[in-house]
Amino acid sequence: MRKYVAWAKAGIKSTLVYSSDFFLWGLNEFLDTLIFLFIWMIIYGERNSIAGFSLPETVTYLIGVGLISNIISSPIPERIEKDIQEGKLSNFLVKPMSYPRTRFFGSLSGKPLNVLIRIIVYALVAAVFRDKFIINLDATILVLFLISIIFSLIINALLDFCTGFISFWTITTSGFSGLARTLKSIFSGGYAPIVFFPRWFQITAGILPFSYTRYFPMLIYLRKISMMETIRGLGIQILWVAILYLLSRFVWRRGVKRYEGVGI
Amino acid sequence: MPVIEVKSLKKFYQVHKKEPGLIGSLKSLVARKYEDVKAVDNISFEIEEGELVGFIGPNGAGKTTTLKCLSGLLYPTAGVVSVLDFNPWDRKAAFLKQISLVMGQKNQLWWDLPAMETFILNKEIYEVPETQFEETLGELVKLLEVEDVLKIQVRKLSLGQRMKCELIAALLHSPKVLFLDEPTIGLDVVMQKKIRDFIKEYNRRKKSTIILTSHYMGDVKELCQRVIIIDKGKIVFDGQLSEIVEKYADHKVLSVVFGKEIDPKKLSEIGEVKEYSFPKAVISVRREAVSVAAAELLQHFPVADLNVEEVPIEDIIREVFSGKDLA
Repeated sequence: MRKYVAWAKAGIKSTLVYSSDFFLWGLNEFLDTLIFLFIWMIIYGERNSIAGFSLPETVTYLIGVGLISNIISSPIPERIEKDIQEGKLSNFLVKPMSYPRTRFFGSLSGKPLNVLIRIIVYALVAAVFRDKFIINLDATILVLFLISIIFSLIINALLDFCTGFISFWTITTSGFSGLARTLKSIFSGGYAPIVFFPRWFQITAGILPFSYTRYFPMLIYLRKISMMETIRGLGIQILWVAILYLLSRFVWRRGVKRYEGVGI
Repeated sequence: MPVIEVKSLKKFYQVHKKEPGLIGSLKSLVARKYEDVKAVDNISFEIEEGELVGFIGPNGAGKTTTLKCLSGLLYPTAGVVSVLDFNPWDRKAAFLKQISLVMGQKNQLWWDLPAMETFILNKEIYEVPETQFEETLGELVKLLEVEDVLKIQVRKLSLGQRMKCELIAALLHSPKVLFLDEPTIGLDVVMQKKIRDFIKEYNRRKKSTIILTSHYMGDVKELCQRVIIIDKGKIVFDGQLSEIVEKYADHKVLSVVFGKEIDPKKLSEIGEVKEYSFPKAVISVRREAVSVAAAELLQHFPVADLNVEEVPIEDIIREVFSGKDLA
């Protein structure tokens, strides 16, 4: 464990070299979200609710989903792709350390600073829409909400590993991971609550793991589901963690066997 | 008990072939033709503890592939590999803690951080005790004379300084087996010499087993007694460096300096004239005819200076690679 902590520390030091970049990305995010929310206000117009979501609920939902996306997302697939393409993976394989674990803990190392900046960004967005933002201070709800986000983070990381490991077979995955990212966004409720979509879409989203990364935590926060449904949802999250862990381990083992390290 | 044992190792890569041009690209989308590239084709050798063995061969001969199989990076297509009694491919922590792989063209140092940070990180990764770490680091830093660059961002170091730091990072856990892949590539002659001296000294002090690949003959000539020559995935020679000369150089070289102008035509009666521009001449003579040739030269020509030399090892190896059969 100590070695992964040491790795994460070096990662923090290394990213701090480029700290100004963080702030520019933050500003970028702020403007993006602002525009996105204004569009939704126009869509609502005079309507009170769409598919059971009032305007304040949708605004809160989208701000929340934006923040969660940023908390759980990681540069893992791009990292893996680069490591495999450039042969950097070799550096890890010849050392007594686990590559996936190193990359996972490494991705956590950038989190504290990143999350802090995002919280400020989304708090500013919420401030702009303060008459529409729903603040929920129920302790039980908040604890369940946080637990579900932790599982989201793990599910998302495992999905990222599976996507990234495809590089073992295809050399470039940027097209694939771009498509995967968009599908992930749609099916996780990143653009709009899943109930806004047709029935077949909702059923598909229910079968896939994605909706458990963003949609589900926000349903808890907005009290859209009962306590029973919440517990059941957390159970399904745990199930997905197990399934995806086994899957990513399987893909990793097969992939590493194929790994050629670059240059004969 | 050899430290490294390789039996009938094969590593083939599948490469897909594409005809040139747009049509070729489209064709390869629909039906890909694959072809096996035999990077390593049935090689066997053994290396004893403390040996410093040179692996030489032209680009693409299979040197790096062999090293990668030995360090557990590549899964062999066929054959048996055993290093320190481990199967490298299992990549057991106990195995990885005893080896190290340094590639001249790849770096493990963190680009944006001072080298010292990577050293500390490696200390954790290899679980090196604090006192041993301090001691080893001190020794290596002194040997390589890098005291003043440890705290500078790696990206700002020169190639030579970086290579020295790479070596330190790779040796902090005192590996028993060390794989060096082109450690002097791109370095100037002074730095090459320093790295060579270091490797020699390190091997002497620590008795670690070292395999070194290089296409600089200088590296191999200075460091290794035993060389393995590999070409097109096959071993063409395995033995003492001096044996290559005895076995395969059937000629010696006479280099002569004349006192007065001579008739170059007459010179060709002595042996094959490789070079002549007054006052110097280089003549190649069959090994057994050397003394006769030398005597004749001294008798019939105004010789100011005469030297009998072995054919340079570079030339012999070049001949080997250009297809002259050694067996």
